[in-house]
Amino acid sequence: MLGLRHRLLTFLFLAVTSALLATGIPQLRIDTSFDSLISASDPTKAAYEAIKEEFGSDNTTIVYIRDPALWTEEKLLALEKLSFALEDLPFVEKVESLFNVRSIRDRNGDIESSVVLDGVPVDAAGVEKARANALYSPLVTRNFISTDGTVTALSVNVRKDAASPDFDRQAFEAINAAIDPVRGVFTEIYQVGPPRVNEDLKTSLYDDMKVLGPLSLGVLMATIVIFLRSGMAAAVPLCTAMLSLIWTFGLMGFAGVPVNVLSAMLPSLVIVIGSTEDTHMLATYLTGLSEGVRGRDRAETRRLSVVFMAKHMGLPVLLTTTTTVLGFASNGVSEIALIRDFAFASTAGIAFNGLITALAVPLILSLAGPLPKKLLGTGTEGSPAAASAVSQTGEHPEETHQPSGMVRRVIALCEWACGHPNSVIAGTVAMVALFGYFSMQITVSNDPISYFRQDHALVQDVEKLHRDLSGMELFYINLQSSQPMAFKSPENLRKLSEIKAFIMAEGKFDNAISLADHLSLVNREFHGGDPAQMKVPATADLVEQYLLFFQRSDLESYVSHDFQRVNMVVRHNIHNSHELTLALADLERKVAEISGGTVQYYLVGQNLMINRAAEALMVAQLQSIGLLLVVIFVMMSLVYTSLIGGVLSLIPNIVPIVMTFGLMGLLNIPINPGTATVAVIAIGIAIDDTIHLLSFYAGESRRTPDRQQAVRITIRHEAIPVVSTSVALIAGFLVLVASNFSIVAQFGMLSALAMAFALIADLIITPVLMAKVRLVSVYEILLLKVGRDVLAKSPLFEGMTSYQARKAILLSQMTEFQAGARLIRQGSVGREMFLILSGDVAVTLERNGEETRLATLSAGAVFGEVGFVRDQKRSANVDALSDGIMLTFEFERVRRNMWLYPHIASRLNLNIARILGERLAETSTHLAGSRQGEAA
Amino acid sequence: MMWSGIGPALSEELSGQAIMDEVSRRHDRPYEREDQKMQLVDARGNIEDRQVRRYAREGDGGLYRYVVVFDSPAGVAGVALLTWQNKGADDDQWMYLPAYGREMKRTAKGGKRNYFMGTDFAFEDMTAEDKAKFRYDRQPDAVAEIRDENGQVVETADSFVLDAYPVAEDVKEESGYQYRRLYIRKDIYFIQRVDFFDRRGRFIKSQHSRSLVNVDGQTYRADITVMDNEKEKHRTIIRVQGRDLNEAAVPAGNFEQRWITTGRHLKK
Repeated sequence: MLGLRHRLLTFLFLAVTSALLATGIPQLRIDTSFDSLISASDPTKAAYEAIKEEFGSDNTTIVYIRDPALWTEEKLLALEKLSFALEDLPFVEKVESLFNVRSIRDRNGDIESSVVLDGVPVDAAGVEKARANALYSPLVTRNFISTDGTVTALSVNVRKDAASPDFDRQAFEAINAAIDPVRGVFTEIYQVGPPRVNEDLKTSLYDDMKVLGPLSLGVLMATIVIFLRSGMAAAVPLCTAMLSLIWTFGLMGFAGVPVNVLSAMLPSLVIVIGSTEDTHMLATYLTGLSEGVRGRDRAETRRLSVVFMAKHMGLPVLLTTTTTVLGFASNGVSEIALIRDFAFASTAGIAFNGLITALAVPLILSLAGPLPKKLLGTGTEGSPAAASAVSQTGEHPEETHQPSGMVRRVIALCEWACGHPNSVIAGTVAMVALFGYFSMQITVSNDPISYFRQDHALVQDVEKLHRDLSGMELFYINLQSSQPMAFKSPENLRKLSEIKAFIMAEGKFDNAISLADHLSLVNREFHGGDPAQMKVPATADLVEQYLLFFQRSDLESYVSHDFQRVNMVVRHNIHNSHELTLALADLERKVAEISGGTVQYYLVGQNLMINRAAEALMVAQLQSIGLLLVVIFVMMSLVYTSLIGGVLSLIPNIVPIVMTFGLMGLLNIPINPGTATVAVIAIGIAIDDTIHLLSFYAGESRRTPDRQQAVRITIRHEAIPVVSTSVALIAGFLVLVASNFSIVAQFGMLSALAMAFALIADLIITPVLMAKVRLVSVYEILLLKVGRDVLAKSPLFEGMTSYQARKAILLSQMTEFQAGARLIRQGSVGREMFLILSGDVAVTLERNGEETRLATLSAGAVFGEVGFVRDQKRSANVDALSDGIMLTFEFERVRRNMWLYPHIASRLNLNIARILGERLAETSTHLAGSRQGEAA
Repeated sequence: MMWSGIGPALSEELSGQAIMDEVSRRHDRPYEREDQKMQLVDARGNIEDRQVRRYAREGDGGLYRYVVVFDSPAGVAGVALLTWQNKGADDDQWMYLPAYGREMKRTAKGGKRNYFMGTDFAFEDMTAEDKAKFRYDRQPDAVAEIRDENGQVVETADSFVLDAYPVAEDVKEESGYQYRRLYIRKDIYFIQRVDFFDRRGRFIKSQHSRSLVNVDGQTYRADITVMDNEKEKHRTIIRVQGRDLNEAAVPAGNFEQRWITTGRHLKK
């Protein structure tokens, strides 16, 4: 209410905070680095760092070059020029190409050792010889030359400057600049590798932000205008969303939290999710007006409507904002920086939006809110002014106002569901079981290439590289021995050959090169090029002597200087983490078997760590869901003062999650950094509708004794806000399908589906659950106005705290009576017990046409307790002596309501027993007195 | 490096070719045997030690024959490389790997720019050069900085500076260098430092010779030579532990395949 009472102060606070935080925006940076995809606690990280240090970085960019006339002097000169240009780049560690890869070859008994292209040959014969050499060497084919000789690659090893956040862009551009002068020479030339992937991620991310934000906004505005028919209603969420985004991006700038692939969808999320509260608040404001809230003037009318709105929306908005914030925040436990940063950004975004909405909406509405006359033309069917025109105290619109169209059908469906609780429960259980089964088939994926759509140029380029040469991805198989010079022994070298043989036989990975290949090649060529001799030399001396053919630089990626550690470089093109995990598991088993006890092995690489983080994603996903469910359970249990209430409020939200997971399993959509966040976000948002439904129902069920009726009224009141916000959310999430990233598109699609499932669950399952229980919220208990003396002196509440007594009161029904009304007729049958809250009643016994007043009861007194415990005729009349209010405890209803609150139930029962006991004692005394009187 | 334009009037007028002739006149010897301790040092400072013997003998027409024999480590003991220079043709070269068998394997022609047995010396760095096939462009004289095996400047030498460009087509085609910059110590006409530039003129490596000893008359030899390969981040250090310039130290028979294939080369 600050926004109402201290308008200037609120305005200043919003303005100053926005101005301050906006200064952080220029410091905002973008992070698309692979490091953010790796789990900080990856068990192989230390080994990876050590191996990378010793054998060189696996940060390799490959320049792919295709030309049918590659083997001509002109093209080779261009290739050489490019190779030199790349070598000259300051961040390039080395460039491997046909110009420095070693060729060892038998020439009619002579041995020839040289690099494949020792400079560009000066004549056609030299060119042809080089081509033949390239195609001849197993170290070269499919690594640096395609089998048809038309595709070659330059492998650029990059030393990344970790301190430079712009490194990847600079590297990408520098490599492109090196390519540019020769681009026209070749049929096709491009680079793939981490800088390109990062750059494309960044470019696509910018494009996403440019397109998705405005698109979400458009969709949202359209939805709001359609459902609320108010331009103002569309403008308010726009204002709050803009401010929230300024605050969030500013804070991220100051806190050094970068924007990444996931947080690029923040504008859409804040606009879509943030607007739901605005919509609920606006709808309530309009309800206030339509219920006739009027002041002396416009300002007063607006003020009163805002007060009405605050009174009715305070708790639900606080609760829903909290649950949504928790939904996003629970991603913060992830070990993956990408998800953690997104959790920070989205949590800040939604929390800021909640705060700004709470401050700005009352402020805006109190200054420029719509007024009744403007509403005249809009109070048509389907508008919230009509649909939510349910007085908390007065008449219900369904009596005068019949909804039509889609809303009517929705309501009809809900009412049908309420009438068939068993069918709904059975159907739900069956669906949950079925989709639960499908969800078992879910796989995980965390490969940056898989973030892109299949038709993206990068994906196409990577595929081409894989088809013509070997995949872009690489990892190392590192064998380590405690024995010096261990890998000069043929026995140990053969382990490498066996691993390679396994890899090539399995066919899952494209290529694997190790020291054994180098030595086998020399061996083959020393035996006249006999393919059967492509094997590790027979003796350690021969190994050592063959090694003289190599420079240290030829081998430093493959063997340590002391020959205790060897490194096999495996290249592949598997961009599906699940597939990669399976292939790696097989490989690791084989490597373990081959390496035996004497040699330790490690399978390491950035690629593998990114892949392994996929598993961490799954774990983080489950942790986040678990954490969120626990928090919501605790919160809802406290709010509804019942553990079962907490459980019940979770059910409509767990169902859509199971359905979503099931669908992912069924459609083979993996858990990836995008889809991993769906479940928690969906719970966080979906619970909002449940809360709105439950809060309305809690209030309604106190006024409407018939639960089915209370549920119907709740549905009729909430159908439009719930459906409209859900439709807005679904539409908003569907916008993300237009993203450049398949993971964001999948996130959008799945979130939209989760919202749809949640909507259905809220409209069908929640009513069924509501009809089964009577929830009492803490808020109601605190607001209940009952005289302290009544609570203190009523025997019914003896031994109860004021809080428990209030709760017991809320579980009953409050009825007003007027002087002279007969509250109980002697001889009738009824199972109600009454507690007088105010006013006086008289208990009279009618016998032989004569009435004898037995007692006069006032506030705090209980009557009708015998009928309550036993189905028998009333023994006396009870008439109102004055106007007053009483609570009616209906036996069956109390029994049903109280099962959620066993402690109160037992206390109540004890007190009733005590009252009955006292009545019995009184009656006995009375009878004894009568008999004595008669006897006398 | 400090430039110095001052020098004796005579040497001022000397052409590059004349300086090289003087270098040859003073230091070329027809017979030579060296026992070398060779160290290969990688970028991380890991050291691999080898013990080799190197034999050189001048034959007819100023053509040399060379033999390099490995004595250690044990795995490569007995490995030998025999090179015959030919008039107007590629060198002949045979390699002997005892673990492979008794035959010598001829190495194919045209591998001059390949590095020799994992060292930082290319084959072309290790054979006598035919001065007729090069052009020696004289550069301003300079004080050459001579570095030790750790890359520290340990001495300086007032030097003539010549850039050696291959001019003969065959050398031009085969050489890995566009040119070499030779620093020739003025007082003794000894090439104390060579900087190597690749075919594009980019610096690759430099060779520093020190611990010069006067072995005979005006003839000097370096007891320590460091080839510092900037491009490969690798270094080869040769320490000469014994030297013999007498003909008897390098009998002609040592330069025949038989001497090696019969295992006589194993006898030190």
